[in-house]
Amino acid sequence: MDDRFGNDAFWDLVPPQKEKGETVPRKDTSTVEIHIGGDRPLRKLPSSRVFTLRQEKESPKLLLSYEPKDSMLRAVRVYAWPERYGFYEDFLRDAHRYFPERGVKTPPLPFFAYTPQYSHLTRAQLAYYLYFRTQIREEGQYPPADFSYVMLLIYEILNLPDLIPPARGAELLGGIWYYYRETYRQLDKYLGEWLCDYCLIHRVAPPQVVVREIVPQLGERVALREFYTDFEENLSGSATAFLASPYQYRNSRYYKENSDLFDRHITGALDEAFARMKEDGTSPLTDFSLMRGKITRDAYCGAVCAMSNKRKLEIEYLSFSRSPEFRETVGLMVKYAENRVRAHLHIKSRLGARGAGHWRTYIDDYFAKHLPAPTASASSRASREPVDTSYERFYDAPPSTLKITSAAAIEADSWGTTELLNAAFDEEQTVEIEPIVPKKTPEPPAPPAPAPAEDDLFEGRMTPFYREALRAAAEGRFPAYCREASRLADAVLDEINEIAAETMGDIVLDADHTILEDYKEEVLSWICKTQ
Amino acid sequence: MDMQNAVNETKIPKRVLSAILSGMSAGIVPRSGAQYIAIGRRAEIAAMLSDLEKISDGGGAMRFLIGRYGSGKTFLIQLIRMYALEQGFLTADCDLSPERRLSSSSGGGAATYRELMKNFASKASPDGGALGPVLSRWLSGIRSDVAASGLEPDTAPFEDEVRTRIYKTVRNLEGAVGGFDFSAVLHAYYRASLDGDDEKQSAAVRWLRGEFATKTEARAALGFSVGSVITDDNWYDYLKLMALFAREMGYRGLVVFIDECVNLYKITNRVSRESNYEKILSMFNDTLGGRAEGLMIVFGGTPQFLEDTRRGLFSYEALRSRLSEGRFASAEYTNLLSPVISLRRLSDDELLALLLRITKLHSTYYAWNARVSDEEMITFLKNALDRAGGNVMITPREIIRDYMTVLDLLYQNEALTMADLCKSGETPTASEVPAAPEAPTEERRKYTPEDITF
Repeated sequence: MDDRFGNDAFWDLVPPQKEKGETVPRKDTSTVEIHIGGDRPLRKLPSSRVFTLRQEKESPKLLLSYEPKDSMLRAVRVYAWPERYGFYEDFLRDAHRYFPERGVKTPPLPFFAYTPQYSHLTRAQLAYYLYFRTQIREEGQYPPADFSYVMLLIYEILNLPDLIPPARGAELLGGIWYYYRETYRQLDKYLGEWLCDYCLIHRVAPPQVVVREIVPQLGERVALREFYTDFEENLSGSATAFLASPYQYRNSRYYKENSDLFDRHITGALDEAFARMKEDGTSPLTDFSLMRGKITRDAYCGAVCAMSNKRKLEIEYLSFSRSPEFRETVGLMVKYAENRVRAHLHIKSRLGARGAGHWRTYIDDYFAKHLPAPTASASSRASREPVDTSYERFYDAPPSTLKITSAAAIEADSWGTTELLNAAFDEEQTVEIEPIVPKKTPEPPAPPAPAPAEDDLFEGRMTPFYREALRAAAEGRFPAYCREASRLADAVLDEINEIAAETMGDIVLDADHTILEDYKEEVLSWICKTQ
Repeated sequence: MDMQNAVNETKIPKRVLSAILSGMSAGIVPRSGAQYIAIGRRAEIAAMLSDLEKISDGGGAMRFLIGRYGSGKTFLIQLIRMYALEQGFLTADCDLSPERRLSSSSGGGAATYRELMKNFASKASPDGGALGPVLSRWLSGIRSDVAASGLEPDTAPFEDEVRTRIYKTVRNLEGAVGGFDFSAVLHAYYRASLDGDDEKQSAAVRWLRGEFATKTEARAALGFSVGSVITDDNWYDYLKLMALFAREMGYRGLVVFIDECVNLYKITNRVSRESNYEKILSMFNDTLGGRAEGLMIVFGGTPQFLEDTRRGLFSYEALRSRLSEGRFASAEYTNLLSPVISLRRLSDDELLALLLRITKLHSTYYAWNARVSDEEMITFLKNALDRAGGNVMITPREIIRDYMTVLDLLYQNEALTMADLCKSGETPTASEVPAAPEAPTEERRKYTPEDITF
């Protein structure tokens, strides 16, 4: 049909395709029920034979949500584990079974397993494990044990919050960490994370022994350092120094011998500085506003943990690592405090700690009160104190009279020393000399001694091979000559030099396989003579 | 005064005599023949020779040679060093400095090791650089022994037997710290020597001398991975290995001389200084506790280095309790069984005895009768000692050098006498200096160019 302009529909295009994103199925995919084989219903397969091709992930179930007080953690949400697994159910069952057992004193037995579980223990090992656990649980003693026993006990504590009250569980974990970390340093890596998870899941505070004794040494070895530090009201110098500072003063080369001074005064100075900054409103926390961070972490990662105890955590916190200005300031404060300690110890080298801030004055005030720097007069007084030099008398020459007779006696006697040392030296081809015998009248000059036939002696020990080697050395082809003779050049050089040293008192070949200039003429003339 | 001396006839090689006189004229310890000018010190020398016997039997030893500047420490060190070389020991020596220490975190320890290896000496290479020749000689010796046992050289059974003997030697080293790498490098040296691969051979020697800074560099040069290179932390372990290897090769042991230890005393930082002293303590415990087979270490230092209770070795309690002689020590009786040998200054008579000896050596070498009487010799020595500050500051080195000059001049100038020389070289005392003439009162004459004649 023509349009209003009189054009026909020949050029009309088909209606446009549907918009992108909209798919139009080509075939009818609606479900149709069909029956096969009459009215007999289909055999129902047992559930164990039913496999879901793609298991859909369930949304994790929120179990707990809270906002910790006095903590750098602002919000914690604890979720159940979203995926099902059953390979630690046996462990959990065994843990419940053995929980009430008490152990008796047993000699220690070695035990090793990569992921220790009760089923890995022999009867004897189990007996020792129970004794070990009883000592820790009931006696507060920490007997020596292999690392696998320690890990087994940790796994047990993590998996039995229903039987071990969480506060008690945290205390046990803290004790295990404190007493065994010297022997098993890897505990820092594991318990640093697992204890954090355990406390967050069960809403308990970290044990004081951990905060006081272990955290200062952890530095950046724990992922969530903010968990281990109290917040603003109680922002402690020690925790901040260790957890927030990019510079760890415990790595200082002077720390080992002065650890007490370093620990006491650096943390003390920071404590005082933070407290005073908070009073005058210049706290670095308010100045720099710690940035918020949010992380999701799997609890007890790497541990033997039954599914019922496994959790997922979502934590919002005030982050040290995301607050570079705060970290930089704390780092400068730590370095500045260390410089003051170094000044007290008369250590001249200093860390670079430039930067403005009221904290310098506060740190100076602290050290002026608790650890004043030595005054110039005190240090110069110390250097002026007389040093005992009474030992010098042992090094003075003995008194003597400067008499020729005494000297002659000493000189004659010294030939004995010479003879003692000459035991190893070649005594042939020498010039005779007589010892000094002082006389009143001078003697007529002694006739000169006959010249020794040293070259003959050297020549006498030169084999034809050595002779040719010397010729080759003169011609600059010593290494090639030795190689042709299947001998190592350095070895032949060594042998010839040894003979020369014994017969002539000196070597003749240099390290570069050439004849020494001093002896070139002699050796060459000797070689020509023997041609 | 009548002398009662046994007549000793002693023979000196002429070349050695020449070396002695040249060395003394230059003020240095002669490279050979130092035993002929060893005056006094008999007990000290005997003590050190007995140490050499001890390490020859597989033990270890350590001595501290302590004396003021000019007391003869370096002379004694050179003397013992040359004796040890002649006796079939290997030696290594170095002087500590601000750059070379025993313990360091900036390469000072490794620098000391490299210096020791640079001065590694044997009888045939007494001036150092002996590591390559010693290794070559060792391999050559094994090949000679195997050939002497009847196997035809350059055949498969011959090479197998050589390889077996080499492996047997190096396997004994593997039990020591660093032994695996050490023996791997020795294997590499042997293989390179068989293949005529000078580059790999040189790389193996460089590793043994501690010249690689990183394992990567060592791997690139050697062609295989090594577990370690010689660093500040392990250089002493490799020194012990070298001593062990020296004995395996058939030498009697390794004697190490470390002089100028006063440089440790001068370290201002207490922690650094004490870490160096800790290293000395560790060496002391190893050598005297039987954990350093065939190794003798001799430290040379000043009395302050040893006995200063603020900065010396005695400031470090563990060393003080081991090295101090206690309340029975005195200047009269010295205990030479103690690790410390205190070198007192040579007495005036001993210095005079030295001049007597030098006179005789000079006369014999040049075949002339030195025109120096006993009284003139005494006068010369008195003048030297009485020079301003001379009684404290002058050293035997300077006296010998001056006396050699006097003898040389007398030898070359027949008309010259000792009295003439003493007078010309004498520094007048204040009473003998004539008073400066008074300035003339008349007007100075004015000179014109016409006064100058050519």
